[in-house]
Formats: sequence, C-alpha cells, structure tokens
Amino acid sequence: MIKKVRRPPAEPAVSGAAISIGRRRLTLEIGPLLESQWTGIPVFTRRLVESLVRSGRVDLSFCFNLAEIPAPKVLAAISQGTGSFLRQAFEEHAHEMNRMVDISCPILYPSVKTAFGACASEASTIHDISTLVMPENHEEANVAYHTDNLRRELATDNMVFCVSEATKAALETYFPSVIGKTSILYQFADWPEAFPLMERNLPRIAIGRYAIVIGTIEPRKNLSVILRALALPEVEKSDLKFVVIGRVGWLVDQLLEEMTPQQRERLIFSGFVSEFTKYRLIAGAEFMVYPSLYEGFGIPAVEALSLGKPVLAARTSSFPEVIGRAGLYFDPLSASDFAAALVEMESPAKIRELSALAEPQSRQFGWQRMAQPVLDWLDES
Amino acid sequence: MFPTGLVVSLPSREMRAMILPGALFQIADLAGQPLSGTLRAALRLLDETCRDAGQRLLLIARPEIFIHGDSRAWLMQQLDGIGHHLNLSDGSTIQLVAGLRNHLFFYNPGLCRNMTAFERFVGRAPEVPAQIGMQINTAFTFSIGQSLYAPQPLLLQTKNLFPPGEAEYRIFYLNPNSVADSIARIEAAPRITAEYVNGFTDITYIPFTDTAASDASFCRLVVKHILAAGQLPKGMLILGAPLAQEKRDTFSEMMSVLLAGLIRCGAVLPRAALPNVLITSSLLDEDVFARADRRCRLVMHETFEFWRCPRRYYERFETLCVAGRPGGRHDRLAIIDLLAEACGRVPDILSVEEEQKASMRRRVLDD
Repeated sequence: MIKKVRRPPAEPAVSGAAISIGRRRLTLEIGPLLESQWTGIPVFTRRLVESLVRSGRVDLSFCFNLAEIPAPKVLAAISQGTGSFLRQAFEEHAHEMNRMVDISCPILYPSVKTAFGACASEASTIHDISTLVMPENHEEANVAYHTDNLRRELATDNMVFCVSEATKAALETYFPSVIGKTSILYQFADWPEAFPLMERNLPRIAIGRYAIVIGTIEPRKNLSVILRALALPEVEKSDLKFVVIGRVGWLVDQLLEEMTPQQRERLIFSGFVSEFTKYRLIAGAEFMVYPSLYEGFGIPAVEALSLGKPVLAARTSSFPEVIGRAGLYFDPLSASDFAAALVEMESPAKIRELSALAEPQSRQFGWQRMAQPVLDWLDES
Repeated sequence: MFPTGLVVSLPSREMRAMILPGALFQIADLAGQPLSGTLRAALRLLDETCRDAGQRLLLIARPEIFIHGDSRAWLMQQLDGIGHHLNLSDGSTIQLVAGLRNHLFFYNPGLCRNMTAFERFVGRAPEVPAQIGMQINTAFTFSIGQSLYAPQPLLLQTKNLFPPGEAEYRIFYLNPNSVADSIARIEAAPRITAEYVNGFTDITYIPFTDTAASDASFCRLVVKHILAAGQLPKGMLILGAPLAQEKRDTFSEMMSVLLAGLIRCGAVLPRAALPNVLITSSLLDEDVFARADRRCRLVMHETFEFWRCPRRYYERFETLCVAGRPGGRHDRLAIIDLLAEACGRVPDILSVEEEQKASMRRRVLDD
C-alpha cells in the first residue's frame, strides 16, 4: 500500500503577510544557526535576521543548502538561543518537509557560500580573509573550507558584503575584481533587556581588578603578547589580572603548557561561558584587552563599549574603525608597546576619559545600520 | 632598483617561533632568531643588495594587519616614504601592501611543501600575482582566466657562497627496502675525507632539493648518473643532500629525503657501497672544483637555489645543466635568461621528461 505523505503547507514569510507592495523578498541562508553554541558567525546571522525582521521591509524566507526551512522554526531557534532543535528537525524531517528555495528570489549568505550561481541574485558575506593571508594560524581544513571556493563565490556574487571597511580593503586588495560590488555590513551589540536587572541582584565578582579578554584561544588572538609583557617590570608590579573568556581552540597547546606559575596567577581562563556570565564579566572589568593580530570586525569590542568599557586594542585591521577614540592602541607584536599602553590605560583619569566615549561609540552600530545595506541591495536588485 | 627604499615582509610560518621587537624592525634584530638557512641566506642577500645600492631596508612582520584606516596610516608613517614592498614568501601566501609597489621573492621552492602551498595559493587567489611588479630569482607565469601574466624577473645573487663551511662526505649505499637501514650503514661506514675526493679528476655534482627528491623524473636521471659513475675510474659523482630547513634537521634526515626519492622513482641500483659516489652535507665550496686538472659538471634541478652561489662558482664548471619539467610554472625562455645571467653563460637545459623519452627510444632501438 502506498502511504500518502502529506506535505505541510508552505510556511508564511516572517512577516506573516502575503508579499506586499514595497516589500522585497529575500532568502537568507541560515546554516550558521544550525550550530548548538552560538558565537561569532551564528550570532552575526541571528542579528542579521532580527535586523531585517525589525526593518519590516523584507519578506524573509530561510534555507540551508537551498532547502527551505520554515520561518517559525528559525524564529523559535532564535528565541531559544541555540540551533540544536532546528538542526535535529532539519535532519529528521528533511525528506518529507523541506522544499527547494525559490531561485528567482535573491539569496544572502551570512558566511561562506555553498551554492554558486543557483539563484537569480546572490550575495555573500566576507568576515575576514585571515585564512588566505595568515593560513599558518588556521587548521588546513578550515583554510580549505574558506578559500578553496572563494574565487567562485565572489565571481557569482552580485553583492559582496564585508563586515568592516578593513575587511573590504583587504578583500579588494587580494581580489580587485570585486571592486564596485562590495558594501559594508556592520553588526552591533545587543544584550537581553533582563541582564542589567539580573546583574544588579548578584554580588560583585570576587576576582579583584581585572581586564577582560574575549575570543577563542588560538594563535591569531595573540595572547602571547600579554604573556611576554607580564615579564616586564611595569606590568609585573601591577595587580591587574586578565580574565580570558573563550574555549581553547587550535594550535595553542604549546603556549598554554609553557605558561609559568606567575603567568597562571595573572591569567584566568573561564572557558566558554553563557551570554549572561559574559555580560557580568565584562561589566565587572576595568576595561577590555583585545590583542588579536587580525579581526574582521571584533564584536566583543563593541559589546564592551556598550557596557561603558574602553578597549586596549592592537592597532590592526578593523579595531581603529570599530573602537574609534574609545580605546588605546598598541603594536600587537611588541610586548613593550603593549606594556606602555597598559600602564596608560590603568590610570584612573584615562579610564574615566575613555569610558565616557565608550557607550556613544557602540551606538554607532545598531540594527538599522546592519539592515540598511541589505535593503539597498534588494532595492537595486 | 628600489630607489625609495625597501620594506621586506617575512613569511609568517617561520615567524611563529620568533620573538620580535615589534611589527617593524631592522635586520640586526633577527640575530639569534630561529630562521631556516634559506631564509637567512635570502635576508643576507637583500641586505647586501640594499647596502650596495645605498638604499634603506626595513623588515615588517604581518603587513596584512595594517590594511585600512588608522593602522594603515600608522604603517605609512613608519615607512616614511619607502615605496617598495618585497614579500619573502614561503608559498603559503603572498603578502601585498596596498599603495606600495609589491614584489615577490619565493625564496625556497626547493622545499616540496612550499611549492605545493604556492600552487594552491595562486589557484585560490589568482589576482594576486598580477599585482606583483618584480619576481626575484624566479620566472613564473600565472594565468587569470584566459590571460597570462609574468612579473618581471630580477636576478639577485650572492657574492659569496652561503652558508660557508666545510662539507661532510658520506659513502653512498642504498637498500631499496629500507631508508633507515641505508642511513644506518652509511653512518656506520668510515668517514670520507676531502683527500679521497682529490683522487678524482672528473666530478659531477648534483645538489638535491626536497622538491627534486620528489620529482621521479629527476631521480631517474640521477640514477643514470650513479650507474655511469662506476664506469669511469677517475669519475666521481657527488650528491648534495637537500639543505637543512630547520635548525633541528640533521644530515641523516636530509640524506633520508634524498634516498627516499631514489627509492620512490623505482629505478634499480646495486645494493653495494659505490666507491665513485658520495653524499655531501652542504653546498660544496668552489675550491673543490677549482683544480686545473679537473673537469667538473654541475647538474641542478630547476628548484635549486642558484642565487646562493656567486657567479664565479659556476665558472668552475665545464658543463652546467639544469633539469626540469617542461610545462612547469617557469617561463622557459625567461628562466634560461635568468640562469644565464646568474651563471655567466647559458646552461644546458635538460628536460627530464624528454630525457626519459629519449632513453626509452634508445632502449627500443637497442632491443
């Protein structure tokens, strides 16, 4: 007997309304949201979805590898803050529930593009080109994933979104053929509204004075400059600790193994923490230290700024653009330059001066600014 | 050559083990840093070149991080008018500095992993080579779509052999079933002295590179030389083990690379110590070839770092031969010009694939 499989009706667009005049259609590839723990690109994707929904000017549909994913499931995952259930539902019910995307509709990839030239109009997002210009800091599989098809990706894009001017400049230097079809897609920091209240009801974190460092622990994050500076007299005599948030990544085993007891006293590794714990740790810090050699954007810096914390950052890539005057900068390869900047940053007057600039700087980046370039592209498509 | 001075970017893979004073530094700051021999030689060459021309030389680590806005402005301020950037590339990437004239020195194609990485990189980012003004000591061509692009080759050559120092000699013995056994027996054999070499008047010298050892056609050519060496009572074949890449690399490890290449190529060699064949640990000094009663022949693989030897070095050889694969990345005429300039005369270019075909034809005719 042939069993009839009932195909569910097509899910409505996010807005819940039929396609309306003046609204543009867009398919958003949400592969990053299928991950369980959202950091980095999944969070960027989540913010992009929310920005476009808030704009009210797009009829959004979602897909993964050109298979449509019902909008309510995506929005449910966003409210849950994890892609675990979304991935499970996608894998278990793909054969009976999923439909192919409408290829006449423009498609936007928030990260690496997976299908080339499949849709009428295509855009992808370049976060950074570190896998191309500093491959030694990545595992080979990661380099291949990001760079093997980059050429094809760019060639088939009608629009290439770059997460910062620095990323745009880097991309255009290495792929001049993209000049003229790039646009900046800045993201922003957003904390759940309940966090300040929740924080207020808890005791202060009992670590003493500390600076916060955020990011997966890997060579590009350049923790070694802090370790080297700890041996310098001006840093050694300070009682400031460094709380490092982030999981242990790749190619850093040796660095961690070789840490001295003195260094271990000054560096506290929290591992991966929840958003709320991260919020608490940033809020309790004197300032943020961001020693990375290279970042596409550097969202932790904006998160710190949004909580009034200035940033002591490497003078590289996107940092001056993102942090502006609310921070101090140092040469990321010079421990003595870092030490000098750290001493300056520790001065109460300097912290006060920069803290006043921090929150206004973070407001440069908001959901409207994130949505606008996508809307502009859709208007032109 | 670089009238407004030169900033040289270093390969990041080698820099991982270095502790630098900052992103910009002087060549003297590299004293005592763990550099490979080839990188050290390349830096010495650039230092010599700039000093001779009275031009400024500055080194930079990670130029890619100063790409935009304030960080780029800071870099430009530090460069203070330097208009040329030379990337010392290990093949894993090619660094560009926007706004400067970019040049490339792919300093060690003799290391197989570098060559593989280089091919992969230019495949991934084909628009990069088109932005290269000059290529130092290579004559590569690149394609972008249907177009071919060849940066201007520029010869930079050392005035003195680097590294100087006495080469060690070992007997040649190959157990085709075991590199380890071959090395053990070579190491156990009595050491060969330079006096032993003095007894021979007809010397063929074949310095290997790691890439040459993985080139089966080249290895088969070497096997022919090994077999031929035994036929001449005064003939001596000296095989140069690939040069050590890291400080920890030992002569035994470098000999292993050479022997493994010969085994992999599938040719048959007698399992015996051959009195007319030796292996040596480093580039042989020109004095070895300087004796008036000697006829010397040099056979180089196309990836041999010819720029590490001065022109007078090549003058010692009666015959110069470069073996390579046709259709490789080098432009044939341009590389011949470059080698002719380096050697003081046009070397014989031996296409190893053609050599193989010729050898097969001869065999068929003989049969």
